[in-house]
Amino acid sequence: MSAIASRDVWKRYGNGVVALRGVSFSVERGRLVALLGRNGAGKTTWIRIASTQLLPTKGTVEVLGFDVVSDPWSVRELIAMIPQEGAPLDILTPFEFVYSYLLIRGYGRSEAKKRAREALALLELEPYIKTTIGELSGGLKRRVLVATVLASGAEVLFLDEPTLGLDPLARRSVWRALREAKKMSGTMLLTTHYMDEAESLADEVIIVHQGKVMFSGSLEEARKATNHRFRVEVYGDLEIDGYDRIKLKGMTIFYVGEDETEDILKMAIAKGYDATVKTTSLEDLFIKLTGEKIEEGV
Amino acid sequence: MRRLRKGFSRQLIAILTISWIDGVLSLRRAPLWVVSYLLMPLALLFFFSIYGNPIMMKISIIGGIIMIAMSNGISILGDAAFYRIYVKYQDLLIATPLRPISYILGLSLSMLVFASPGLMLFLVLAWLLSMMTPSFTLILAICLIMVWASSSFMGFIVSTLFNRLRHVWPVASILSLVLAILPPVYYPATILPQGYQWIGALAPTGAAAMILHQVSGLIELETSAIMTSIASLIGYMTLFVLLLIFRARWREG
Repeated sequence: MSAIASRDVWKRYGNGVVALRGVSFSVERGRLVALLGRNGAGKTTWIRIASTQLLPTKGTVEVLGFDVVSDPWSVRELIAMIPQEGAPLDILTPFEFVYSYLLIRGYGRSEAKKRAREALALLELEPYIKTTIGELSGGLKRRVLVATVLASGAEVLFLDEPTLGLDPLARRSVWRALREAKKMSGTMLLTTHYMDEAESLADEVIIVHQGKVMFSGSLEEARKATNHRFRVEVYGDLEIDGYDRIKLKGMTIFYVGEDETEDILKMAIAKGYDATVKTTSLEDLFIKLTGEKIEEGV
Repeated sequence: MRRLRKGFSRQLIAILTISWIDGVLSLRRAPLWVVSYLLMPLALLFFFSIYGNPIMMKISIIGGIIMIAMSNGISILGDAAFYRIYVKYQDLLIATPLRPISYILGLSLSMLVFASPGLMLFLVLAWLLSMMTPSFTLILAICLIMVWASSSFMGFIVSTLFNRLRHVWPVASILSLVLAILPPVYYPATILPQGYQWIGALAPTGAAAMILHQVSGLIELETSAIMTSIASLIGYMTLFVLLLIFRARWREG
């Protein structure tokens, strides 16, 4: 049995916007999966359906065998979720926030205290345990949320854009926290529009574009799907016979092997264009599948 | 192995926990809120004690008690909207076994915690003026609970109508003033035209005040006004409980 099974999930909002168009994928137990896509791709809509906050128009999502529509209370026993742009309550200390969340979930006082302390220690939040959350940085606040859901002991964790709006250092501190969380948690699904985040954290990626799943598989499979080792970005409109190209706004991209990079660079410079060479990454799979760079939608 | 409470005890602990963080801890760390909600009832009491007679002073003490219970109940509007729209605390809690009605009761109870210092002050004043007879105390307790519950349930329901926080704050202030000043909370319903005193009971605050004015012997109301007041308090309470049951759903369509 999969930890998460999404089958042909559609969502049409009251204003006519279709956010999901038949989203199907499954996640095995113990995996950390990144749901990757631009803003508006449908990631948050899907995660809100899976975490029992929103009804789908059509299709089913099962969490550990329980249907999120017909059996939401069984699902809620098993999941914990960090909402997009969520924040812990400013007036509490990190300990009070995690401890109260655990009491609300049904833990006894001594067990809740123990779990809260362990989770905060794991995320290196011990020095701030008695500081009110309002005095903490954005990255520390996010870590408090990660500690909260981690302490829950829930078998499936949903994290919606856990590093949205954070600076690079704060993002890395949350990544460290999530790596620690991964050691303890059963299954994690996070949404992100940061390629590096998905590459750094996930065992598998699901690329969503305009409400559809474009790719689902391991990072290794994603890398293989790009076929080539290098990406040459030419900042202008360059056409070369015998080379496939992808045209983006103000840029032409070529996917090539090592030997061919020099030829393309020479031709680009001859035409007066700037050019750079990068090794291929998950972002290239995204560009190949969608014809767009992910950052342009951010 | 996770050892979790189940059923009623889990929900009861959740209600008390929410009222602890949203009421007790918030009150302890932001006590200025007490001063802010006490300003209006204390100002009115000051005004009536200087320019009014002893009856008006007692009416303003009853008015203060009702206004504190109501305005704190209504202020759930701001908290519920803040938790849902701004910090997404409600979303965090949806993905737990917490029942929506427990969440609302927890927030409502925290509003009562917030109101308690102000209520204590006005109850002491009422006691100093020898108003706290056994029958008055009993009726006051019932009226207080109904005003607090009606206004906090109403506040929560109203909060669900807004998706932008900046639109929520003024609504709480407007509702508080309308419910405390327009109905006969700070004036006796006997100044309303004869045969129309019942109109004062169309708001739950007016109904509670009219009952308390009558029980304390400050005024003599028409029977229709007394009956309307009782029916109004029970009716509003029932209406808001039913609306809550209908509206209090975690999941959006």
